[in-house]
Amino acid sequence: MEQVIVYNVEHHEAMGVLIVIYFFLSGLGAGAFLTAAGLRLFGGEKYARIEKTAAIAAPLLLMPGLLCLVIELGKPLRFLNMFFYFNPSSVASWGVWVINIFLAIAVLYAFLHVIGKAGMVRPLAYLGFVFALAVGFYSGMLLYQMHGYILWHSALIPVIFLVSAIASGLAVVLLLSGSADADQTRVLSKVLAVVVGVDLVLALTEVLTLAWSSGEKAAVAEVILSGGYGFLFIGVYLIAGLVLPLMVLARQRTSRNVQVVAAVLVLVGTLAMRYVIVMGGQALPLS
Amino acid sequence: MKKREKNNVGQCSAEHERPHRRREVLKVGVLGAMAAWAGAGKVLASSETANKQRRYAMVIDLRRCVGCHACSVACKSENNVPLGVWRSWVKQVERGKFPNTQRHFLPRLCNHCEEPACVAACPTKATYKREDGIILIHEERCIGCKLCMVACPYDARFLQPDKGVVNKCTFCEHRVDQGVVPACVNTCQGKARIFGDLNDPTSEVAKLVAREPIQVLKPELGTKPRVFYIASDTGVAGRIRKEI
Repeated sequence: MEQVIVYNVEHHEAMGVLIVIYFFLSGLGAGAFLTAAGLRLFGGEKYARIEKTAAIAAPLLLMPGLLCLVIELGKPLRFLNMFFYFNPSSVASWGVWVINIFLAIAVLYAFLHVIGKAGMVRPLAYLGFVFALAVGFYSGMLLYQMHGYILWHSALIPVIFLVSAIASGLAVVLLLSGSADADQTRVLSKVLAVVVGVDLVLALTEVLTLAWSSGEKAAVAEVILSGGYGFLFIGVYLIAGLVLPLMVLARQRTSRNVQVVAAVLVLVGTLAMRYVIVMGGQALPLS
Repeated sequence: MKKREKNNVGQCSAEHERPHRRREVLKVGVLGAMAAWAGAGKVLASSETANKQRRYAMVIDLRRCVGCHACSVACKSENNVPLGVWRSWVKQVERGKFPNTQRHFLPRLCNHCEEPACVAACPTKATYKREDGIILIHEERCIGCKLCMVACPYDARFLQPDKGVVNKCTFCEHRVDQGVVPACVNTCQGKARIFGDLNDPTSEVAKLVAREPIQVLKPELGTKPRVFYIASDTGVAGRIRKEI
């Protein structure tokens, strides 16, 4: 039977576009660092040039993201309270330590590259690798804790955020490594293709499990698969941001133009995904 | 059970009594009596559990709610809630077609959960649960990160526009601490809202919760709300739905 909502109060969305940008930039920073540390730990000395680019990019991408987070606060100047008070049950309380320790590591790592002492950074690369993974994972975990929001409260969300952080980080490093050796950028784009493939599988799993359920889950699926959110999620993220880069990278990885196009598509797709998850997740009223 | 003073306004007039100014005494006394007649300061039932831990709770008997919004207005006025945001409001749904139609009401406020998701999510421990179960916010510690707003599955919280910190229903803790019921309970025309100590078996809330068919909002989330509804309607409880 139909019913009409005569009156209700819906308070404004708590998380805005600045949070979307923060998630995007912190993911980029973590992904870029993972690329740098990954090249150091698994690639070796010959990738030193790309590694340096990635190492310098990581803190520079992360810092404006953190700035967005502080500006978004109702009381920006009180952000230090995050360090003075600790709540073990709050994901954000852990996250602020994880992301700031990571920032310190990333700055030190970049500094060592700038002064040309890259050879001695191996232990720092190990440590930073772990913290970068934690940063990529934590933003999704932050959303997961909000159990009133069906789109966020899924075990796949932290994994999707981590994998897309790695993908976008690889993409930005690939974009910045134009002058690097063609063989090396080819390897980078191969890794990018694999990560994008994993991201695609995860995203499809998430959206299909929502679409094939009933009630509120199906309602959430309808929100992110139709209208403006649908265009961003299916068109920009799934097709332009994942399927297209995967197709072009699978066919032709050596061409610089193909690499640039794929990298840009991945970046735009990741941003669109973050937007749809954060804003679309809040689209349905809670009460 | 020891009876306490009938109303706090009467107490006020006793405090203001000055022997040489009889007219003023009379005025205050008359005002007090009028206020008492209007039920302006219903006191909390005196508790036999004074030594035990109190657990404040509210029962909203929807069979008595007429959707007059007096609670929303009383709350705004009592707590100086800014324009555009609400600590308490009455959700309304209309179902069916004339003549088979009915309006259903759901007065809303913070649920003061036993397992509050907001307290768990707050990164600075600015929001906390008091020993008597009331969920409050240290306004001077809150950084306005709004994570509690998204953590709350009931949309009970908002960012106070003029202060930049989060705000919500406090069960009128400033009144409760003085032994007076919250403003919404005090003003409710149909006496639909009942407030008291759930741990005191002689209190009205404890009796109602024990005996009546009660319901809480989104019980599946395990937040254990301490706002109980009698005769809650499926159309207004939970998310907004165009049909049931």
